[in-house]
Amino acid sequence: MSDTIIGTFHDALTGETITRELTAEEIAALPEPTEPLDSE
Amino acid sequence: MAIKTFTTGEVLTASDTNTFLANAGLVYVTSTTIGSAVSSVTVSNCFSSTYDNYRILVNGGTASANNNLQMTLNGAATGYYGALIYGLSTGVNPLLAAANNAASWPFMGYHTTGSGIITSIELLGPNLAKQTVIQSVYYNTGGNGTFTGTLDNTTQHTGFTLTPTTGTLTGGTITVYGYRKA
Repeated sequence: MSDTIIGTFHDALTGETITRELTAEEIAALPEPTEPLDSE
Repeated sequence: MAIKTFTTGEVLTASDTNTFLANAGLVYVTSTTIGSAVSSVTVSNCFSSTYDNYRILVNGGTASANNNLQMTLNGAATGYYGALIYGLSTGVNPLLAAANNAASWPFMGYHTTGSGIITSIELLGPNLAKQTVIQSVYYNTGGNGTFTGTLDNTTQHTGFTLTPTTGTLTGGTITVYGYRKA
């Protein structure tokens, strides 16, 4: 079973902030990790 | 209005107050607190025709790992370009890291288990029907620099998402300001 991936969502129009599980579409849209830089 | 100097005992009128408020250069748009152990933070409906240019500040909180903070604008899965020029605190020659038609701006700042999440992002024209330009401060455990880039599309974006490269974010505040146009 995979870990749940959650995100925070804030709507500037309503001022509402919620934290919820990401949908499959939202997970697919997350950017791929970048390579570590030389200094790290 | 020109800068006005008030003197001791002088009455600060509603007119003066409203004029100063209306002439503020940097105007608060919205703010939110990052949730607990989240893999992304999305701020929607923060860009509009009211302002062309924005500043986004992120400060506080903590992260489960040290790594780069990435940023995307809504409605854009690709087309992110830019270059990070940075140097090490030990004085090594400047280094370069680039994004070439990437799926995000990859070096928007840094998230650490110790210092939390800190960045300052200047975003030019995200809601205009032309390329968006970005500049962000960057630091990591040994390097310091500036990322400058573009998003190559004509989409009128209304929001953004910040994503930790690895791990999760907890707490910290994101505040969005707009630059008054006139």
